Amino acid sequence: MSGQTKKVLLIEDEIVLLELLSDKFKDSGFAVTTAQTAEAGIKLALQNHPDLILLDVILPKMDGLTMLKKLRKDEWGKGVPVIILSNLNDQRKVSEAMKIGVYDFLVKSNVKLADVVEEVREVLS
Amino acid sequence: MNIAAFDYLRVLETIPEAVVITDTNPHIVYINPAFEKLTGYKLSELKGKNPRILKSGKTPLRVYQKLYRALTQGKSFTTREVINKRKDGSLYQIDASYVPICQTDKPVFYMQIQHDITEHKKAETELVKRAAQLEAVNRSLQEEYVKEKALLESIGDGVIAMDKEGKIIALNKKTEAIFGWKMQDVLGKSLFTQFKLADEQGKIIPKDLRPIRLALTTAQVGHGIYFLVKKGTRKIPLFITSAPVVLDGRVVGAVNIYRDVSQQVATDRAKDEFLYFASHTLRTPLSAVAWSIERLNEDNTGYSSEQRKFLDRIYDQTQRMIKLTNDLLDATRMEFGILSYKYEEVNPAKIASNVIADLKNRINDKKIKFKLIADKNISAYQTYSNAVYMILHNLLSNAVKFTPAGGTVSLKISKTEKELILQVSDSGVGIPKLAQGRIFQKMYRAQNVKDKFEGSGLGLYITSGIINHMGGKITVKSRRGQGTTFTVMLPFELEVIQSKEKDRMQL
Repeated sequence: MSGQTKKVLLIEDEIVLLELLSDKFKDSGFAVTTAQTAEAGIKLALQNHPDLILLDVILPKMDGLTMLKKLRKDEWGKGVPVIILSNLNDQRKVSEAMKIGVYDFLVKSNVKLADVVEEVREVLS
Repeated sequence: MNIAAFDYLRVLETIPEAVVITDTNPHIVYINPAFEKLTGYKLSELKGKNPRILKSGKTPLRVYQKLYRALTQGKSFTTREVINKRKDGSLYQIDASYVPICQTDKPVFYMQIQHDITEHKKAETELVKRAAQLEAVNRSLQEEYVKEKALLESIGDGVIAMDKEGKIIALNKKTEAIFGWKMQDVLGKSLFTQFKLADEQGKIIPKDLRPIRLALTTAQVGHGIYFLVKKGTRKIPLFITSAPVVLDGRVVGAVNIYRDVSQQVATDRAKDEFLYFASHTLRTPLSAVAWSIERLNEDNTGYSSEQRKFLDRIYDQTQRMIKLTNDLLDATRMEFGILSYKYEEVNPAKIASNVIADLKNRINDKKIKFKLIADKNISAYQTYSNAVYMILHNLLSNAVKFTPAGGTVSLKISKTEKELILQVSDSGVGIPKLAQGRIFQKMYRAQNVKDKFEGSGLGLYITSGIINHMGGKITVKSRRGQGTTFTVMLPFELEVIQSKEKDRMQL
C-alpha cells in the first residue's frame, strides 16, 4: 500500500471472527478499530471517520442494517464505503442492504480472509 | 197496479243481463236487447233456431249433461263454465242461469240469463298465473337464501358483511367463534368499535390503516396478516381480505374474510428459525475454523509433511461442511418456496463468465480444458439472475468435479425463438443408464461416484427445482465413462411469482 495507512472499522460480535479479521487486516497494513455492537460501531465510525467499514448483520441489540441506515443519514456517513460481511445471506437481506447502499455483501463462510482484504484494497485504491 | 198483470217481458227488455228463452224443442223464441248486444245476433236471426248455434265447442261436455239433467227434473241450473260463440265467431264466457218456466209442473219454456264474465275470467286467469309466478319467485328466493346461508355458514373462514359506514349487517358462525361474539350483540354496530388489530410487534393498527378502509374508501381489495387483540388471550394472527361491494359504480359496503393463520404463522416462524440457525449459527463456527486454517497456511514453514496433510484435510472437510450447509439452505429455501429470486436485466454470457471466474482455481488445478461458446446474438433480458447463476454454478462445478485431470468441460449458450439453451458437457465419468432417471431426486447419488467424490446429493435436486420454478426443462445424455451433457431450456418470458414472498413480507 502506498501513501498513508488506511483505516478500517470492523463491526462483528463473534469475538473469534473479530480477532481473525483484525489480525489479518493489521498484518496486511491497515489501521484497525473494532466494535462488537452496532451502537459502539456507529459511535466509532462518526468519531474516527474510517476509510471503510466491514459490517455484520446479526448484532446483539441494534442490527447491522439499522445501523447502516443511521450512518447513511450522517453527512460524512453517507459516503463511506461499507462492505457487509455476514453469514445470513437471505436474498431479502442482501436486497435490503443493497438498497440502503453498500459496496458488496460477502458471506463469511464462502470467502477467504485474503479475499476480504483484496476486496477492501480494491475499494480503497 | 196488480202485479199479476205486469208485463214481465218488458222487464226483460231493460235489464242489463242477456236473456234467451227457448221452448222445449228447443227453439229460440225470444232474446232481449242485452243478448243482442252481447252476441251480435238479432232476434229475427235466431227466432226458431236451435240454441246450439251459440255453442263454441269449448264448454266441457259434463256441463251440458248436468244442465240437461237439472232441466228435465224441472230444476234451475247455474254455471260459470259455459263458453259461447258470438255471431262474429269470437268467444265469450258467461255466468249462466238456466231456469225452467213451468205450467202445471211441466216446463214449457226455458229461460237463460247470461252474464258476460270474459273480462273477469281473463283477470282471474291472469291473477292465478301471477300468483303461480310469485310462488315460484318466492320459492327460488327461499332456496337461494337457504343456499347462501348454507354457503356462508359452511365457509371455514369468518365472513362479515358491512354497509358503507362499516356497520355490521351480516356474519357467519365462524366469525362468532373467531371473535367470541354473539351475532345479535354486534349486528348494526360499527366494525371499528368491536375489535382492535395489531401488527406482529403488538402495535395497534390505526383505524385508517385497517384493510376495510381501503375497501370502503378506494373500492380496492385490501389484504394482509394482522393480529387480533383479545383481552386475556394471545394475539391471533388473521389473514384479512377486505373487498368492496360495488353497486352501480358506488361502494355500498364491504365484505371481510378472516382466516385464522395461527398454524401457518407458527410454521413460518419455525422455517425462519431453522434458516437462521443453518445460515448463521451453523456457519459461524465453520467460518472460524476455515479462516483459522487459512491463517495457519499463510506460513508454510514449520510443519512436517504429515502435519501439512492433516491441516489440508481439516481445511477440505471444513469446506465440505460449508458446502453441505449451503446446499441444505438452498434446498430448504427452495422447498419452502422462499428461495428469493432476483429479477433483473442481465446477459446470460455475463453470468456464465462470473461462474467460470468462481471456478477458475478448480479448473486450473485439474488442468481442465474449458470451452465457452456463446451465441453473440443473445442480449441481456429480464430474468432471475441469481437462479441462472445457481444453475450454471451447479452444473459446471459438477462437470469439473466428475472430469478427470486434463479432461474437457464446455458450456454452450444458444437460443431458440422462445428459450435460452444452456448446454454443459464434460468428458467425465458419466452417469450409468439406470441412475439417469434418479439423479434429480433429493440426496440421490449414483453408485459410480458415491464413494469416490464428495457431495450432498442436493445439487441437481436444487438445480432442477429452480429450473422447474422458471418453467424450464433439464435433460441429460450420458454414457458411462464417456462424459455427460446436460441441456437446460429456460423460457425468455417468465411468470414472475413473488406472491408468497410478498405475503410473508407483510408480516
